[in-house]
Amino acid sequence: MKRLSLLSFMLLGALLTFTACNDDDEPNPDQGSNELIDDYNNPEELKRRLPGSITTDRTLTADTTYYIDGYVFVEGGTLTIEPGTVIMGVSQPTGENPGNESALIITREAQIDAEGTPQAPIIFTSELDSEALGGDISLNQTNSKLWAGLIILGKAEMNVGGATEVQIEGIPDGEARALYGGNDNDHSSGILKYVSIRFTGAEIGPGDEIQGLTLGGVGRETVIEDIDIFVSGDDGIEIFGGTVNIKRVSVAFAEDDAFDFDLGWSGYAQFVFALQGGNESDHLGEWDGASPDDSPLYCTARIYNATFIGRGLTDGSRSADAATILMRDGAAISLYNSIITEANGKGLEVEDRGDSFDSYNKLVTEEEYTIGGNVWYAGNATGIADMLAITSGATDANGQAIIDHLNANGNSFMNPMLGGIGRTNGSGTLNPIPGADLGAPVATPTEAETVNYKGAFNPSGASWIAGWTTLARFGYLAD
Amino acid sequence: MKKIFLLLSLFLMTSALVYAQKGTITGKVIDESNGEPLLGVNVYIAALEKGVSTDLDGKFYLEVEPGTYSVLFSYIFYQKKTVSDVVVTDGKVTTLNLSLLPEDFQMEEVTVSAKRMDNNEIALLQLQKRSLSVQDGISAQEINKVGFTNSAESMKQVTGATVEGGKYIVMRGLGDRYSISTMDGVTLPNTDPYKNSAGLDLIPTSMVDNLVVKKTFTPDLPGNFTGGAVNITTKTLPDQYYFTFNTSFGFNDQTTFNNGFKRDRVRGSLDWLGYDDGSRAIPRGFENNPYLSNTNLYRVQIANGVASQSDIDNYNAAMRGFSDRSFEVDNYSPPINHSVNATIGNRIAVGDNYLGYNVGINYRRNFTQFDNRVINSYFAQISPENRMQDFLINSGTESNEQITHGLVGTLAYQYKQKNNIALSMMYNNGTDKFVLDMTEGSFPGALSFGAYRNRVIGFTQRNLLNSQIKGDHQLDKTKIIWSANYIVSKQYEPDTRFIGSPVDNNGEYFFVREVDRPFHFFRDLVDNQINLKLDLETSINDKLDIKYGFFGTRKDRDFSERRYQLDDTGVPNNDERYVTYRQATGDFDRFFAAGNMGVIAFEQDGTPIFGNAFNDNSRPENFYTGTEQVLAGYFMGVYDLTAKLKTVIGARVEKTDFEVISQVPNATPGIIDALDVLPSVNFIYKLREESNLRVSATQTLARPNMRELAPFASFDLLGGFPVVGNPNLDRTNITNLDLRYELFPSAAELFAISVFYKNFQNPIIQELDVATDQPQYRYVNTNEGNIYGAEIELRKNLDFITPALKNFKFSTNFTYIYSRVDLSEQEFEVRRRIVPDIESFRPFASQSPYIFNLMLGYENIDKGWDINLYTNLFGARLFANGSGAAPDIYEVYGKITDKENNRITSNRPTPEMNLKISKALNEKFSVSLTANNLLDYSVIRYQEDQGTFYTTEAFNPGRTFRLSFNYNIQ
Repeated sequence: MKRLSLLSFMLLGALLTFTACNDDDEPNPDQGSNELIDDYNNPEELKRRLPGSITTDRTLTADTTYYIDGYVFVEGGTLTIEPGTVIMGVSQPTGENPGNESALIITREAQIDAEGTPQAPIIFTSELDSEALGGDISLNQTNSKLWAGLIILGKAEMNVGGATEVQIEGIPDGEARALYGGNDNDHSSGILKYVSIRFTGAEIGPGDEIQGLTLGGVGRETVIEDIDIFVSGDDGIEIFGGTVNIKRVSVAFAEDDAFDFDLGWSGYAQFVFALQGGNESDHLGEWDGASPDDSPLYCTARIYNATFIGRGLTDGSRSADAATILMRDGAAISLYNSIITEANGKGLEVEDRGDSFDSYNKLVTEEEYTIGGNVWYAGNATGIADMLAITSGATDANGQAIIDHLNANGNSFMNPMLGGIGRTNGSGTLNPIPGADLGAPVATPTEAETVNYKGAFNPSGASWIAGWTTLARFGYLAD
Repeated sequence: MKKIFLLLSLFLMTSALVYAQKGTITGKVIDESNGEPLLGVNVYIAALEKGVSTDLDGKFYLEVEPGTYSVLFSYIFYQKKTVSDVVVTDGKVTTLNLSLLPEDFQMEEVTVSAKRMDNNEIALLQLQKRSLSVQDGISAQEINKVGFTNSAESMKQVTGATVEGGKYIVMRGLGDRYSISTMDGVTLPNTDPYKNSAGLDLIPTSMVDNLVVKKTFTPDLPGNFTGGAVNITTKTLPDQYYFTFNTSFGFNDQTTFNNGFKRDRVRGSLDWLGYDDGSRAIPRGFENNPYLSNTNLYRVQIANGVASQSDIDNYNAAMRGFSDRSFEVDNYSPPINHSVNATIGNRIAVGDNYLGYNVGINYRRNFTQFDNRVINSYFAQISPENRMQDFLINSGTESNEQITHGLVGTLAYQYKQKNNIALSMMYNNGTDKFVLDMTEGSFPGALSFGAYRNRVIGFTQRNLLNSQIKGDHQLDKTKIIWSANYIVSKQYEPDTRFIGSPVDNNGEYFFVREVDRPFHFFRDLVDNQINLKLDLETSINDKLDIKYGFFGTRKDRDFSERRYQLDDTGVPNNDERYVTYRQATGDFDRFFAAGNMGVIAFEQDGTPIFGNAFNDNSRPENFYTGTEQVLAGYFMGVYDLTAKLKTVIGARVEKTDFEVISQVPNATPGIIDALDVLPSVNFIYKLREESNLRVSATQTLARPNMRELAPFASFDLLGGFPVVGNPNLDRTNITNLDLRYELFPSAAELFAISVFYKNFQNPIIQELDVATDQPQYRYVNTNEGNIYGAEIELRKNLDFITPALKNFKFSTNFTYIYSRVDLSEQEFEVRRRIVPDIESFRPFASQSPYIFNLMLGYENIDKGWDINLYTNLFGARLFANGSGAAPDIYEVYGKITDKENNRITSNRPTPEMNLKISKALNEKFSVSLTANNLLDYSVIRYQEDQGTFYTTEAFNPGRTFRLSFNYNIQ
């Protein structure tokens, strides 16, 4: 029954697509034949439907739409994906994994080589997303949890209570293929470039969703660049330990945190963008250090040039006392030259529990990390002095030492006057380029690309989210 | 209720009709050398020239005119015994239980006075003295003295026994995994999927003849016990006509009339009886409902205008199906606890044969309010100076209403004294309705600010239907005992509701990801079990008896869990047509109102406005079926090596076939397929007439239960960690060594010392998984475990101090146990990295280092007084394991002395003390007053770090006083 109703919907969708196909996008000529059917004797069908276990090299080609039907573990070899390939998660898996959600897991022993182009990005999406196949837009930012998501596991270091390799959250227990972590910080899980990941976050276990993109123990030789995450039922991207660096990552409409870091991630991120939507979303940045908080390995990542757009200054659906960036559990994550705006509550919380290893102590006393050159704008604050969310029972009840740090490191509280904030598809209003003069960026460690602006976008250059991301293709972006 | 009273008055009327103007002498005769009942003993009253002989159970039954008689017991090759001064009064029953010695002991005929006899307790001690294995027991009489109402509570009196959670027996420090519960020799199914042995709380004491606990294994017992095998013998062929009626009224000092008691707003018409009338059942059509399991798909269709009107209607119906299942609770002032209990039985002569019956009915309604319910959790840091960090701190109340009722009926037929056949049916139902209302709290682990409140509303119904046919037959030299049972047991948990709310500094409610969205949870477990049992005993010669038999059991289980969780994806933020959780702030009925669910409106352009939805979050692994099959055969011999040294040698072969399959395709099924030979060697050396020395060496087993083998993660409603099964578990092999010295100074007295050692290979433990980044419990086999223990027990009359104390007696026992079980290698390796001095072992779960019982009694039969004071004390026992740097969690009965933090300041236990005062007003009526938990302990679970006892859970049962009225005719 379910399959039938789904099919009829797809057919209806195809029909609508057909009647509307003299639109700007060129319809995919293979679309009809790409439809998933439940015929397991059909070799074409078996080719399209990725098996539950891939153990040797495999190439996915752009002329076929592939389906993830339940868990697909890439256990060995390299999964190569040609530019322009569309891979769809099945909503109600029936094949080898009925009842499970659809997820693609690149295990520690395997690699992914998914290098798209701005003209032909690789798209991981739901089978309900007609737009990915060149049809009309059938989904919007509330359609999360249509499939689970993409998980990449590596061998770089992480730590949980003494354990140096653990199973990634979200996959049911006892699945040895879901282990990640190790001691190879130079490990490579391959390349992810010009990749769209849409409509993810289906619940895998009770209360257990996975992110659009989950990186567990991923090593620094891995390339994660030009990533578009559009609508997630959980976080947009979550990084558990590892040493990987990420560049040009856009997260729109994540219902939990946009950027979530845990368990000792020590890489860096530059040019990252987040846009929150409905009333579900939580933090723009939930930055945990370690588990337990005083583990010797904790998050020491550096974030450069972020543009984070919150739920709206007056949005009342989340507590006005809540922070937009939460640094806790011993995290020491630097944040440089970024724009945090439209936050509905407070700006920043640096957890202060009176311990020598808490994030507060690492910032104020140890000066292990820096929050510098950022522009903050939050609805429940009027300036740096009152933009902090204070940990209950904090030793520094007013957060004065944090305020001093922010003031001493070139942070400012002001409306960056972004060019436009649009949260409706087709509105063509989203323009994240600041209109206000934000001042010069502060100096940063040399690992980052040196730029002369704050935020994720070069005001005088081409926007890296233009053209190929879902935000662009669904018409959110201003021309 | 009316029906029950009607039934009762019917009983009363029948009893009046049956009432006869004669007296009865009845009793049981056993062989003093081995405790076995003797068949065919002549019981003769010379004065009346009247006699009978004993039946297969060694029982006799003689109806005589009132008077005082001497009764002669004679049996070929046995010493004759005369009991004098046997007083028989009008319509009353006089009981004579005694033993006869084989003639080779060359003793003269003996005469005893009836005044020194007639005591079930003595009979039980006799049984203990003669038993082939180390055993302990309590009689119905003793159970009544202490005022326990169910079999589980009664077990506390047994040496080395403690009771976990009011239901499960812990023997010699070994938890329910290592103890089994049988009724008339047949293993009872467990209704709690997380437990290995059956909860005995469902068996009311009024149906119990006696409880016996075997502590050493002989091949005629199931091989899967190590701590103890509890056998409940139910009443079958009564000795005489009897009718008892009992009603009680109880008061709890913090529950009764306390208007702070909370109860579910959802109530059904059958709640008073402990059944759900459908008010809490899964709404019709909600199982595998596509709108609930694929909510997102339909939302997409509706939003795109491609959904049919019937889809929209069905979607709305599904989303609104729970609107009458309120998350609100009402205040209620609980009335007096009460219970009613009636049993009737008789034996009717049919020619030379007897037909007997027992019919019993019971009903109980009990309220419990924990007015200081605490549930906390902590996060442990590596550095010792900051180790325990608050993660979740919560307190409030827990309100429970328990309703139990049961029916039992047996029909027994005795043919030519050598054959007994009995049919019995027993039905019991126990229901707990509870509201956990945690109103004070903070959640630093997830929330930087504000408060946290949560509530769980639940209904748990357990029931047991046992149909049994059993028989025993004495052939020439062989005794045959057989039974067949069909047992259906169920645990039904409809619509458990959870709602957790962060509250911000302005008092407004909101949701965060770290707290589960509100949900409705359903769990259903059905076990169907068949047991067949055949035991044969053959006397080869006067030195050798052999015993052999077969046992087969098969249990089929069907288990399901379903969860329907709030999904507020895509609801409008600022739209007057939709009430947000924040706007509703605490008014849950408003938030979940039908008008706030499903598609609440359409804009003019046809765009739907979505309100709240529910998702069916059940996973395939939440459904499993399983089969447990055990086939066993045994052979053993009881051989008198010398007149003083007896040996019991034999072996049992057990074939185990377990299979658990979840609905997850391609998932590894949990399978155990094993053949075990379990030898048992026992020596009983009679040091003197009244003392024995026992030595035994045995091998036994422990098996994982189906839940432990089923590979799924279940969620804990109280905010605990999920529990994950392991299909690769193996059974545990155990070697037991026991040494016991026992002395029976007089019929009612006992002194015994035992030492024991047990070695466990592959013990199953529950550990916090170190291989996941989210904490969860899992079951694993670890390498090895060992237990060393000693027990001492004493029952004594106090007349040895001064004759004035002749009505006083006391019994006491003390058990000391040292146990250790290895951590799994993985757990040890990982945790050692952050806690370098961590031990590689811990005690067994639920194991107390010591257990102490004391009972002081005063009995004045002439004046009708019977007063007993009972005390139980046990040392802190392991409740759950810690992970990372967190210490293990222990449980103790204590007093919260640090009220501000809800903590104990010492883990020294507070004794449980109960007092029962009974007064017989006349021969038929008696009144008793029972006071439970006089010292008012709280149950506290804690993690100790550097002398501070961090409470993880606490609740306080309060003091209970119960007045009961008994009407008893025989």
